[in-house]
Amino acid sequence: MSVWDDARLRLDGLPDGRGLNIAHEAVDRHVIRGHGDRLALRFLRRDGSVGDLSYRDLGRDSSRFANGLDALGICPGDVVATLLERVPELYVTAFGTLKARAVLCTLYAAFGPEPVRVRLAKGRVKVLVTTAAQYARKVEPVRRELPDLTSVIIIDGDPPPGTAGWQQLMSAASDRWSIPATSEDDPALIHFTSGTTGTPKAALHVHQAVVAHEATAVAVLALGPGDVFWCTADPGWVTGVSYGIVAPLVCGATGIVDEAGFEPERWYRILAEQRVSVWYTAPTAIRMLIKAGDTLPRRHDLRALRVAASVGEPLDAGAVLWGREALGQPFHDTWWQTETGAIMIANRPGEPIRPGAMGRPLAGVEAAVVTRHQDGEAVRIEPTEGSGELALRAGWPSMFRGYLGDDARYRAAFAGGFYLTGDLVRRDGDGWFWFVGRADDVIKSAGRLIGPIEVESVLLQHPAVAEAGVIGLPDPTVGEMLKAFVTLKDGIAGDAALGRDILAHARRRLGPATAPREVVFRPALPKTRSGKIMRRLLKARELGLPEGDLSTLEDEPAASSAPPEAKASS
Amino acid sequence: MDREQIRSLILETLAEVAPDADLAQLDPDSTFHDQLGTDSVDFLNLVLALEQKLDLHVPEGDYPRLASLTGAIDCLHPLVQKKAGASAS
Repeated sequence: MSVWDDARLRLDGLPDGRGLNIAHEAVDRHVIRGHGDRLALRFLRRDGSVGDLSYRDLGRDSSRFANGLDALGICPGDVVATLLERVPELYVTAFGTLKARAVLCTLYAAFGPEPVRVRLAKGRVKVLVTTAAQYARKVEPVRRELPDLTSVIIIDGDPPPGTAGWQQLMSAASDRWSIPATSEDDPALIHFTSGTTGTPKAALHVHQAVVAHEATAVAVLALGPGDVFWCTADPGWVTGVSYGIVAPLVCGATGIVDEAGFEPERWYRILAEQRVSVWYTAPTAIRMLIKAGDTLPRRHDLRALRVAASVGEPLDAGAVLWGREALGQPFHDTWWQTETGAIMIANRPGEPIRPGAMGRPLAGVEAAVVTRHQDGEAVRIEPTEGSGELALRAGWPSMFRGYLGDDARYRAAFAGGFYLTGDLVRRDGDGWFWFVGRADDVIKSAGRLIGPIEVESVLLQHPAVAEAGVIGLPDPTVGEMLKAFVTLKDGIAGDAALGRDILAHARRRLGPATAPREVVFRPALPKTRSGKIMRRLLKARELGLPEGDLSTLEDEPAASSAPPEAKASS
Repeated sequence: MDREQIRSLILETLAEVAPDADLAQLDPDSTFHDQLGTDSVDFLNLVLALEQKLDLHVPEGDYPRLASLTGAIDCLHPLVQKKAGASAS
């Protein structure tokens, strides 16, 4: 029996057979069952104070927001976005949106204006919930370029012209809302993810995804009522939605939300004081904790911790075992991605861990290792020995159902009944999967996928930059660190000040998480004969690796001699 | 190296790590993150660069003190003094 079948038995469905809705499974059904007083979400504010939302509170507030959307004329299928840090309004918006059968799109609050604009436009966002400061800096200047954006709701202070206030919207709305009939295949969530080419992809998920959220929370995180669960991912990314918002509540657990950022002492204190029993975090954070030493965890009582798991990028064997020594629990590495919507491959609690491996596919997930062949437009795959691309048999409940506005890209992601993940893996003789690398130029930094094009196009907006190539270089803490190689326009000399100016420009437009941390100048960049920058070659040269097949490389006289390097930052 | 020199070094390093930051308005007593929007990777890069420039090791338990300008000076100044004392003897 697959984990999906198990989960379906535990879900309720909307009353009177009206279908399946994520918000009902996560919130309302617990209230109906008499658990309204149970703590749903606990917010740990920066100042040390605590805010609690019970399942009943969350049910009522999200119903108010659903009524508010209705009053704004929002229809099923319309997109509601958030540009918020981890505050209660984000979670209320999430479930209110799903109750109204609108589609939720959470945007990472640390994005700069450019990624925000691109995502609001591409997602055809109708309603945006944000703060006055975010609006003023990132949205108001480009509002005219966003014709679909009809309503902006400001959660703090006086709403500026052209926006509405959260308080006014909520206080005018009833806290009673009956979720309309919802089909399992109705759109529910949009997550943006990065590809090698073009603009970011908007992956669409449907209400049926909740089957996978529940199934994996039980099978991999061993979550249940009474658990205190802390998913450290920001809701601006898929993990923070699937496991930071939906999964713990579907299971009737209490979710911890830390409104502050990473800080080792604070994190250990949260684990101890909140008696976190299940913890889902990321390799970058784990590596920073390891760096912070073993005395800190020893000063805190971590005995409530029952399961520790990791996601975002491969977790090395040393970090897995460090968990056992320092926290009393080893880390269970898990693998999934935006398109899969939920965990697909994992080291599972109660089973032996294979440190350094992604894990094994869950029951109901068919994973294959394949080679991709391009036959004209069509893609064909064949099973392969050794390492190859990870492919998943299409049809699991949280499988993405499209890339908004990109049908061709969606179709190209499938071949022979399989979804092609773009991740290169190896399967050992016992059926465990091991991560090898990405099949494309996408960069994985601090667990986030970053598309080089999105970064390069912002670098090209700098008046001095002629060409730009962006790669990820191995980094012991964040996995890959973004490095940019640029050529300058004729007559412009590269020096440290210009390098800093370019970095500053990129950080202002993209935000620190997506901007390069280093810029270097080159007289020329390696390009194919068709003019495409060969990032693979930039990376190979940077790392002193074999350069591989150079048959498509154009002649590059300037770069063949040792290039002068002006380093802009260390 | 006195407190003022350490202060200059921190600001100079911060400008390398986060060149977009407006350091003229920096409140020395609140965190870089809250004022400048720097992230945890920036913070780590700042600490590593300061360790390299000052040729010293900041005990991991002291990292949180480096989150603001005043805190960072308070943390680094004795370490620099101690190191100078050790190399003089």
